[in-house]
Amino acid sequence: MTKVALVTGACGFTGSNMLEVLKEKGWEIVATDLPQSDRKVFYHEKGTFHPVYYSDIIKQTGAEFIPADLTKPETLKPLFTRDYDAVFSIASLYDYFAPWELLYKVNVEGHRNLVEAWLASGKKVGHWVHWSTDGVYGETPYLPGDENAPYDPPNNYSRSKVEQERLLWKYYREKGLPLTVLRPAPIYGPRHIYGVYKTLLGPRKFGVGAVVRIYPREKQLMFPCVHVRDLCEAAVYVAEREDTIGETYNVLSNCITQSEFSEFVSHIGYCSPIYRIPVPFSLYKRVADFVIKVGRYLDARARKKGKRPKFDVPEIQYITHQYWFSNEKLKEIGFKFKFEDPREGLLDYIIWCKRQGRL
Amino acid sequence: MIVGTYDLLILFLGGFLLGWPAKRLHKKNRDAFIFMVEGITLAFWLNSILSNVGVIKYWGGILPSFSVPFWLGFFYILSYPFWFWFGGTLFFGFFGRTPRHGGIFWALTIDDKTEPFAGWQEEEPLKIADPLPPEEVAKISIQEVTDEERQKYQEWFAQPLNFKVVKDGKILYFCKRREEAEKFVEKLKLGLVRVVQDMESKIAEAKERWEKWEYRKDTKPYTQA
Repeated sequence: MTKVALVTGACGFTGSNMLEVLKEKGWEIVATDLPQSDRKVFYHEKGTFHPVYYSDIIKQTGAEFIPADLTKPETLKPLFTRDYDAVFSIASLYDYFAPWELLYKVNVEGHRNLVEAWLASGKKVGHWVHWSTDGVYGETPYLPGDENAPYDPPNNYSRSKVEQERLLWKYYREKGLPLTVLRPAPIYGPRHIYGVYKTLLGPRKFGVGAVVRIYPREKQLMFPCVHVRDLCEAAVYVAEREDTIGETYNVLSNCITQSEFSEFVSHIGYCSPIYRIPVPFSLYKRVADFVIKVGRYLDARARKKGKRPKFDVPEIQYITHQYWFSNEKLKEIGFKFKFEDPREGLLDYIIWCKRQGRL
Repeated sequence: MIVGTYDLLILFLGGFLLGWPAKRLHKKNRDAFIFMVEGITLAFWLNSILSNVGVIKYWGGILPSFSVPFWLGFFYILSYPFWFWFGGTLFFGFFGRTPRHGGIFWALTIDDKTEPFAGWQEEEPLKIADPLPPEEVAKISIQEVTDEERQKYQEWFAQPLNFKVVKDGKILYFCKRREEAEKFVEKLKLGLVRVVQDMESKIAEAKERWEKWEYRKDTKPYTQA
């Protein structure tokens, strides 16, 4: 029998890829997202990296589209007029630059509205696969950090995701929400133009590459990321298993070091020359802290002008924070990554960017 | 200002000649050439400074030197690393940067003596931690989480806190299932996990950050909505 899925945030980057994966797997899809005209309310239209609304994907995948707004409970009722085998709860405001009030309204209250709408409908949902983020951990007290690490969100967006998770786990315990939480690392892949994209765009725009090599080598910082294809495949994989309910999974490729990543990006981004900079860790930390301060200054200056900076502060924080996570738990239940080495996935993504003229 | 007559030539030739050991050392440390640039430049700069303040003779008087206006000499000395770098780069262009490369001369060789290319993994995998010696392993225990601890720490975790891994009286790990704790201990033994901080101090810091919430200031709305 054909399985039925509800995909929220279907016209965004991850949602649109999710629709494609579900279509390939023969699922019947009900897709929901904001009506196109409402999207600009949540995203800064003047900004350089505001997300694109991929409405064509609905037609391409033959999904049924029900427009809805997480912040307006009355618009959510039409979503739950039937049973679903799985709800892929992707919709969230992913914007490091967004004000806290807006993040809370969409990512916390919006998700409360969604679950309440389901509870009020009395319809059956087999599995509620929720998109969180690896950002909820911040720096873990042990490395690589697994799903048992504590919350310590380093920015507003991640904090809103912690609040969101806490809310959903409460529904899991008290109302029987069949919840599985996915915590993806920064996601990249076709249609992606924020976050990881900027780490590729940066060296391309600089024209020169820099590979900072920290000594002692054990102190190196890691670069976690995941290809959207792997993430969507993982979501379907956990949705098809009963034993994943009540569990959390990190979803990311095997972490590579930041110097490996920058070496790769510099070569692939036609950077010439590529500066190799070996530095002791203590000096690196000081310089990186200074760079964060510059980032904060640029952020404040951009806000004053009603614009946004080239790089958001939480993105720059990757150069000072050790974000090193384990994907072992997901592998242990038998999931196989297509892009276990992120460089392979990045190549796939870079080809898409090249075709689009974005890199 | 005193500058060496042959300094630039020496640096250029030195860079070219040291390209050879740098190429050989690349496998051991891919920054070998940069360390050479830093070391040689430092030695030349030190010699310039000391001879100009009159502590020593220019290269002990072995090599000739001459006097130039200050700013000209300053930039002359400042350019030292670039000459060494230039020499090395020229060597690498002709003969290859690593044992896997043959440089332009590779096309002229009949037998290919270059090494095959490595995949992505050019370096040794990052060492996570040292395996624990048996006397350290003996200090680790798996215990059940007390109600008091659960009350204190549960809000910082998604999973129910049922078991903990303790070493030297400090909690290193919380988890839902005993087998997760056993696996963590096994990883500690093998050096497959690096403990950065114990749970109590980590959560105390996280709590402080949560309450202080310094990132909230980056919240000026930018839309009318």
